[in-house]
Amino acid sequence: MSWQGKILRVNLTSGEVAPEPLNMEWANDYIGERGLGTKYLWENMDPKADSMGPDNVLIFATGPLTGTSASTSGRYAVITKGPLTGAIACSNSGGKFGAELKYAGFDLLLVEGRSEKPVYLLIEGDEISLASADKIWGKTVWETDEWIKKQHHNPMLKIATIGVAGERGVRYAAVVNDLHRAAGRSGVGTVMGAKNLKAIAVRGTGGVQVKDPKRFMQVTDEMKNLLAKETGGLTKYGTNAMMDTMQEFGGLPTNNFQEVQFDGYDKIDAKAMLKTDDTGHTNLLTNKACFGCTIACGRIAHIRKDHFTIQNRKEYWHASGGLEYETAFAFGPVVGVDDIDACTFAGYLMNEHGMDPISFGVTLAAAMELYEMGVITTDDTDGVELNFGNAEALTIMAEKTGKQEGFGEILGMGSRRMCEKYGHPELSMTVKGQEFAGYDSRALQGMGLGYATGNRGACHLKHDTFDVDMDDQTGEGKAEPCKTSQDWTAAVDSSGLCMFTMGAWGAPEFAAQLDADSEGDWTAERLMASGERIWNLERMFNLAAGLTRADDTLPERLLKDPAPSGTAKGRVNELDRMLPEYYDLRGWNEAGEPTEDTLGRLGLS
Amino acid sequence: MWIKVRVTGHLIDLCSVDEVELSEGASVADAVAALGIPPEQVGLVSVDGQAVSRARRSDTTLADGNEMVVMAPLTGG
Repeated sequence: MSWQGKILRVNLTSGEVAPEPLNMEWANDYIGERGLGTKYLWENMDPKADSMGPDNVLIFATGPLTGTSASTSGRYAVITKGPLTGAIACSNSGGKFGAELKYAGFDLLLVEGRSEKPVYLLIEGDEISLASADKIWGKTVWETDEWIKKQHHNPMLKIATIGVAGERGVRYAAVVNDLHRAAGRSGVGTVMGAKNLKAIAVRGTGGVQVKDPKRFMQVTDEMKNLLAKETGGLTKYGTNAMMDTMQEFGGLPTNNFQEVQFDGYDKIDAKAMLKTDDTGHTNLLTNKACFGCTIACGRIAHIRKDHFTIQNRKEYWHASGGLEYETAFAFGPVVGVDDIDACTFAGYLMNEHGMDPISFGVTLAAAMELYEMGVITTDDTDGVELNFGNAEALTIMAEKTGKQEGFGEILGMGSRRMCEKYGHPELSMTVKGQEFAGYDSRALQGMGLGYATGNRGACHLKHDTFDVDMDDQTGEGKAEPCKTSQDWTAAVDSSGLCMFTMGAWGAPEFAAQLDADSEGDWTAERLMASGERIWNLERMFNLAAGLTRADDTLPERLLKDPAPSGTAKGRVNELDRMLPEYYDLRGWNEAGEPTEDTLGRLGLS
Repeated sequence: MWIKVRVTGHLIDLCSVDEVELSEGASVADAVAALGIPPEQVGLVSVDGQAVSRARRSDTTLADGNEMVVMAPLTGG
């Protein structure tokens, strides 16, 4: 099996670092990664604990397929109690860090306590230590990565780190690994900063051993061929190929969700990234793959050197992570900006300072609406005119937030806290305190249900109702695909593989790879049952943390203000219709709590 | 009759025309077929801004001058 059979428990309060055997019973019930991390979190902390305090636990978990030769096997997840929501947070990343952790001999890291002084964790061969981070506290993600590699004379180290945003309590700070891949959502980097843990640097040379190598090679080869037939669009255009679809569909959140279509979409979409301008500059340079990935949806871009953002800043005259759909949405339509270079630069800043672009962009959008309403003025915004469409304001505020300077401290609170501070909570486009991704749920009804019931708050990655939402813009029949895809996505997120394979692989294809990889007689049915168990355990964590049915809702804007244009013109989200049906399908009572029968069926009693 | 056409996402690689000539009474499904786009690669079609669901593609007829948008499926990002 590809499990190493070992986890590392790191107590930052005592400084103790101790390997432990992996609980294989839990691995069999919760698959790995997201599911296994959730089980370890559940068993190791009180859900009522302060997310920013020492009693919160921070887990880095790989999946059974992480580090194998299966396509997209670079995934790992960070699981903790989230500082934006007070709910469980699970954020998934690619790059190379996850596989490296496995090769270093650990399936999972469990970090508890709080260090008195800033430290980083080094796992290099047999050396495992907590080292002083005094010289990198206050440094960016990129500076930290470089410093640690130089300090240990080892360019092969794979590093997951926070930037200044995580150190200084931005509620949506990310953990960035390999310079520009990130466990981006839900403030997992904020928790890392609150623990005074700057970075984790890993070098592993051990490899993994699958259960049945011959069958594994055969089945993963077949799966790669299948993937190649279905994902060519992602390879060529990246996820930002969705921008013009969302525009035509009328689900592209614009100006803080006041509108659902954006005139300037074609200046920042995938085709715009490929277009060569009159100076010969093309935004997109190439694509990039995470560990083991045969899709390579990642974008590598560069900015025009004469653009106002970098004209006098040569340190940014290099190629770096380019726009994906969510970043293009968060720096584009939702703040009304159509300047591709400004959007690209804002993306650089997110990686450099370690922040979630979605939460930042949607928080800035709310601030822009507050500004245009006159609730805040340039006296509040350090003299910056915060109108929708102001590209300069976008990049100034991205930098201020990353460094926690001036109005950036307010933006770092997240949309809900900021809007409450200014007396307009209705302007916050969030669920449970986490900001929406780039899909308006008046056009995508099942997406709205998925947002409302998302265990980590508003999230587009924990269910998959895109197909049924496009085909039918009512709430009818959306509860079942939402529930089923939530369970399925929980299984995929726990496997060690990327959810971008889901268009090509269903449960039988995942099960075939997992069964060749690990003991346990994995079948499609068992994967689905495990996914449902994971979803319900996350729900139990949230209920124990104090969340209730009242948190399964959407902002009034989406429930009462009809979509002003697009194919769903005139519609609002039909959550009241979908939610009771969803609870019923889940086997939950009217309060949104799993019944005893449901818990018993899932082995959660 | 002539129908104005736009496609989104990766469908641009399958269809580069901006209008298509069809027989009178042609349906949305006929138009998608005439463009050479496999129907399973279509997320949604709209005609003059109105969504046409998968089930209605065959019995929704087009008229001269209609604007049809053929949208790629959404995948999450």
